[in-house]
Amino acid sequence: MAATLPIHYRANTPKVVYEAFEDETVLINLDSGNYFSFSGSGALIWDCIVRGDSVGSVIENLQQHFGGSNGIAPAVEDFVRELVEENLIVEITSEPAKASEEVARQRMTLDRFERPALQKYTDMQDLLLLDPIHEVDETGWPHALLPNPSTKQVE
Amino acid sequence: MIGCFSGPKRPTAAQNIAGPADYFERVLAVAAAACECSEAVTKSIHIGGGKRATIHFCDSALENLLFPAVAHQELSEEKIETNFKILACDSAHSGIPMWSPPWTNQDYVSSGDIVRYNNEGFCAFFQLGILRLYDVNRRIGLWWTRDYTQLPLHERAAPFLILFHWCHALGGDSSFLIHAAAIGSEDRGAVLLAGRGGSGKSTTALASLLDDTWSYLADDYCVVRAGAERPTVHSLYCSAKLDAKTLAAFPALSRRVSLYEIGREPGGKIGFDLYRSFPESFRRELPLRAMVLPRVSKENNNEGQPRFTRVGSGAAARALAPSTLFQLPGVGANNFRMIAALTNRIPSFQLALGGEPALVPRFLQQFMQGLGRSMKPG
Repeated sequence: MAATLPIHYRANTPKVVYEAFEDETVLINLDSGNYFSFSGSGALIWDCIVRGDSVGSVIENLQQHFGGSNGIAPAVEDFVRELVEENLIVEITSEPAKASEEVARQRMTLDRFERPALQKYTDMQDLLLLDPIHEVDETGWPHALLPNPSTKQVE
Repeated sequence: MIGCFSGPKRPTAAQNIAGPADYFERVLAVAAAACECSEAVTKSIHIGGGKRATIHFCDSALENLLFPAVAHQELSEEKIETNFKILACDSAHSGIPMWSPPWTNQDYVSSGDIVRYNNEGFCAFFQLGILRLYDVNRRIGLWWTRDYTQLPLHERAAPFLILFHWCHALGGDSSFLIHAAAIGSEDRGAVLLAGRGGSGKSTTALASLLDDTWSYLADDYCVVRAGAERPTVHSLYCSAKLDAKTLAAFPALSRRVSLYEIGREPGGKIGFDLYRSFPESFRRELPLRAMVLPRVSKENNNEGQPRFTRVGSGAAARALAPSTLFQLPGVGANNFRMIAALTNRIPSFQLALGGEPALVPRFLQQFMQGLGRSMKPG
């Protein structure tokens, strides 16, 4: 993974929207119908990455702050890999405007590093399947479909 | 019946259309022709958050299909100024053909948005056979379907939902539409009930109709206005879609609403006009005090008594934001930001529902009274 460490990512907006709360960060992938949350170390890593830190510098800063390696590098790499696989972040080729060291230090408010966990929720996917576009008629408009009783309806 | 239009009867190919503004003008001309004939009907309503809309229906049959779900919001004053105009028509009854879509099948995204036809000035959405277009600057919404006799129950129970959503979310102020139920009272204020289908929010809201200490604002969708002062919640629709299980659980409710059915899904839910059944229970607006996330709990054997647990603002946003954003597309980031600000302002609680849904409003009332001054100031 060492060769990938200088890589920078950005949040996959506008397909992905996200908000940070006091207790967790929540992300919604508007394309896939899935939504996600993480807290603690995950929220810290996300914050650093979407503000322009490379994966390598995130690891370095975490190791410096929490002391020693303690599995920080593989935990961050695995977490970033998951974020990429879920299309929550995308790689960028040019180096972004980097957050200042002061900002980075202010974000390091955790007492200890815990392996980040990406919580995934899939219970909204059916809403995206409410009206799949099928054939169009001679006017160009899709046929109006009566709701399929097997498709989940909004309460 | 064919309307008064005497123009061409064949569908019109959309050639040389220069983009969203051009297409909007063409569709607007069609809708205006349909809504200016002698059979057209005009109504003005409150749509929450201090906003008012004028709706032009191409004929009274379309009005009879869609207006009952917002009839409790009708403006009594004549010729009052409104913030938003909607023109609603079909082709089968107005006799006016619609312009063919200038986009391709591949331009529809899964939520119903239409790629290339959503920008800062215009919004476009097609789902369940209904086209909605919105001019953000002029605040004009267009609603068209081929044949209004084929409308799904969802549209009859929540007509113009996407247009109302755009009017609020893109209005430049602090009102926005959410997927949640809302009940309350003049002295306690209102509580939002949020959660996915089957969580018990609609059941709790419906149970409040049978408890005269509660007022009813919404079963499915409501408007929140979150300005500098305490946030308020506003009613939008007076309809509810109920399944056989819910009707069986509330026989008293079933008896009253069955007089005012507005439509049925084949083999599924039945839509009812709740306002005509319970006019005394409706409130147009109340201060918002808390959010409750109901959850049907098999483990809760506390003699049927519901159990409340405080949850963080992130958990509250997870219950409210995804179902809102997936149903009300086009302005996801902005809506999520407003929902996040709301969940940071009001306290949220998970409610583990006990065995008897009819008792929930009474326990919720006791809980709200107990909260008293301990709640965050708005």
